[in-house]
Amino acid sequence: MSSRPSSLSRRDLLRAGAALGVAPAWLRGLERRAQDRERVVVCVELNGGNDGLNTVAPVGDDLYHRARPDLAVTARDGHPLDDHHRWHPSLARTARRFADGGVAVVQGVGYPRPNLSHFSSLDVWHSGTRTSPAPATGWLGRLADATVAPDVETRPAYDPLTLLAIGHDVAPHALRAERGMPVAVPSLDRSVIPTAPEGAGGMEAASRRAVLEALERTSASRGTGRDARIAAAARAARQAALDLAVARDFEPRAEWPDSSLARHLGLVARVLSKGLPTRFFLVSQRGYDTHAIQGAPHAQLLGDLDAALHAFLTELEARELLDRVLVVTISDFGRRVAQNGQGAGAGTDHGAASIQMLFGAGIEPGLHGPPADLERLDENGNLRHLVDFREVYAGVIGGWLGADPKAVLGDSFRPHPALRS
Amino acid sequence: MLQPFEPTADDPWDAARAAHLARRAGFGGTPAEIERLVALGPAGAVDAYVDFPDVDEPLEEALAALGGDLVDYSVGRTTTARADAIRRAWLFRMVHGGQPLQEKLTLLWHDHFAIQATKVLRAPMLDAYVRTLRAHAGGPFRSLVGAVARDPAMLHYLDNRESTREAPNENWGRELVELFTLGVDRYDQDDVVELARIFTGWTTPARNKHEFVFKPGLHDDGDKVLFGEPLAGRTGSAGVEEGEEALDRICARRDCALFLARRLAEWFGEHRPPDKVVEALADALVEHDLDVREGLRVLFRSRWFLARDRAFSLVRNPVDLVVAHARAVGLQNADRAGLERATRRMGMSLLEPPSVAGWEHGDAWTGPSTAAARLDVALRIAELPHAARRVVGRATIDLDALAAPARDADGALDHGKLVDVVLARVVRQSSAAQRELDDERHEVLVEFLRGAADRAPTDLAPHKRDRIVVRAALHLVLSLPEAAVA
Repeated sequence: MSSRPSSLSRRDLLRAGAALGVAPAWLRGLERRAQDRERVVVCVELNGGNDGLNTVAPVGDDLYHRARPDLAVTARDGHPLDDHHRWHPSLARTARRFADGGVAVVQGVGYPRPNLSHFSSLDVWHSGTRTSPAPATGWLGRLADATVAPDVETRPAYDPLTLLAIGHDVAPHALRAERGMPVAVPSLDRSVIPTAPEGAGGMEAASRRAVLEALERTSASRGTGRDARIAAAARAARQAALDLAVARDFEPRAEWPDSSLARHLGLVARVLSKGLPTRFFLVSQRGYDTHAIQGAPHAQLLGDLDAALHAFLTELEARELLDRVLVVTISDFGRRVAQNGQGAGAGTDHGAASIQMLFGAGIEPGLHGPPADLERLDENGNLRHLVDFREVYAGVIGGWLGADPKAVLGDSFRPHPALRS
Repeated sequence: MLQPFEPTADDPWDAARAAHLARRAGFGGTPAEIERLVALGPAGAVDAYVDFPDVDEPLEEALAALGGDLVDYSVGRTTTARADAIRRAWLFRMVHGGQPLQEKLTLLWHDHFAIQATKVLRAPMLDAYVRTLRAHAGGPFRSLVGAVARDPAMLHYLDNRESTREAPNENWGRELVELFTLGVDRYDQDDVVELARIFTGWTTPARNKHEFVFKPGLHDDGDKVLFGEPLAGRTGSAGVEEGEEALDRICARRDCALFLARRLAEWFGEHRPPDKVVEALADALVEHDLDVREGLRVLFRSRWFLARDRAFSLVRNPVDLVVAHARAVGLQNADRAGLERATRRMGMSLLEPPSVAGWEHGDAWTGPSTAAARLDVALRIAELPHAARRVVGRATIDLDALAAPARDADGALDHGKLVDVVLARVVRQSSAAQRELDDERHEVLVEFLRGAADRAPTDLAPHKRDRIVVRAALHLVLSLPEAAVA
């Protein structure tokens, strides 16, 4: 596969679409729909459990420095935030944006009875519920179910690109919906239309179309079971692949760094700039499970995050798209207040409450909530939560998208003031 | 709940049941293999899968004869090339080996005791880890857990290598109980802290990181409490016994038997097995000291497992799917077929699960991304070169042999029969080419083959035109939803 995808003409797309048995976006009226300028949520997952205490560090608290002799951000390094806090040294651009009123931070975010398992805790964050077992749908999927109009062709489902995970092989829990099928693409290169086969058999592209047609005809009569779902999934994927192909043609207006997160956010920018119908994106940055040797790797991760977010937000500003976009971070949990180990080997084990960062339109900028209380830790030595993450979600659902938080979350949560109502 | 199935005249042990066993305990079977299983009867057929020797001698000989990076991954220059060589050798074993249950269990244990090559970069560790899983695949669960606890790749992956008396690291202790043995919330955070202390000193030597060593100097020899019971601290080289005692204690818990039973019932039986089945399987496992083979013998023989409606109820994971397809079409030289790329595109690259929790199964594999890749994989398999005999170094299939039963008395290829023959081969693993689909669906498939025949270049020799039709049949049948389930 080429590292630099070439752009495709409308004729190329028509031909490719014919081979895939689907019609390009403009034929389906999607470009017109882009004029509606519907609001978008970009959820950035810091996978593994980001150390919130070292992201927005309470440098004014002695207990913080005592708990982390080798890991603490000091009043000398890091970037100024307020009298009590400093940003991690890797977050220079984020700190500047914060000073300019472009960032909201909510402190002490968590949920009751914190679960220290990555998987159980991510289930809580992705499903948007504290019920066990978690429901099969995710909070963004249910939000799409509640807010997105059905596609004319595929009613009651909506367009396959509505819910899009980037950097994933399989759509994550947060995007799973009742009415629609989320699409996952590992990368732009791996989402492009498959080329015409060149195998030994000399089978032409028509074979692909014929297979899709045959699959649809043989599954059409078979109701809504798993077989029909598998056949529908194949069609949705082809549709999404064809639509994403237009995103290959892109002249960046910002300086983009080279990191996997930057490539993933770059694809979000491409999709938005082409007016494609994605409303909910999930992008993950992996590697935050810093049990050992935390210092340099965590600095690298936050540095990549800082640079990628800066490029993304700058790109959207340059294209006058930022007023449509809200970026919200989530993570498994924060990390233990006390470091484990000493010196360069020091790391932190799984924690509980942490921070959420919000960027883009619809935010009430600033640092929300009281500083972390390092005196009253829970029985495991972790921060207690002061804000339920579902209040932040309720702000996104109600404030940003004007939907009913209770319909999506199941319970009533007060929309958090970090989001404008 | 798991009473053995007893065949009767009305409810016989037949090819359909034998093929179900073959799809679940293995990766499906050829018509000849299914006939052999039918002749063995239910007990004999199950034993034929369960009683595999520790080493697959004929396979080892075949691999040795082929040599190259199938035997020695270090032929590859880069870490990626070496990891890919290990993946290709692994897939070769699954496709061409004679002990499919051993391989299916090895895959399960990789999913269960997951590691990621991006963190464990060293090929010798990856290779040794897979060997560890295979060697203990059917053995007592306690031996398997014990071997994994000492496995250098795991010590590396979950940071226990770094865990010391001064700085116990909770990563291994937590996943040991949460993901490997007891299940989430079946322990306290205190147990995690104590396990971290107990396993301090379980590490690898500074120089040779591919071995296990216990370092008393790093071990916390203080007394501990595990699951509310004291566990005496031990000094010197005896400190390693604390970890062994902890593993004994974990494996003796009812929660461990239940957790193992659920995992086996999910992998081989149903995505969401009923609690009663899990309980019954846990009882059987406890009776045999958590011996995996004995548990599976009970499960595979059971009325529940062999019930007619159990067939085709599991969504195949991508590795299972490509291996089953490769075996069904008689793929030769599976290491040369790009199967590792195929599984990667579908979202299941061996040695690269998304996290320590392994892959998500069931409907996670029916989403758009996997489905699109699956159709491409079907096409790639259908497009492999034709060869009647094994050609060294080339992945091929014998299209003529596949199509032979679909020919008329005068040798002409019957499209209707071809649909049935390929369906029987891929989906039902049967030689009996009976009608599989209702008339309407059957007609859609036949029409598709007719279209493929019409599109075949007219200047080709007739047998080559026929092969194009056979490829089209494979492409379509491997793409059907029926081929995605087992």
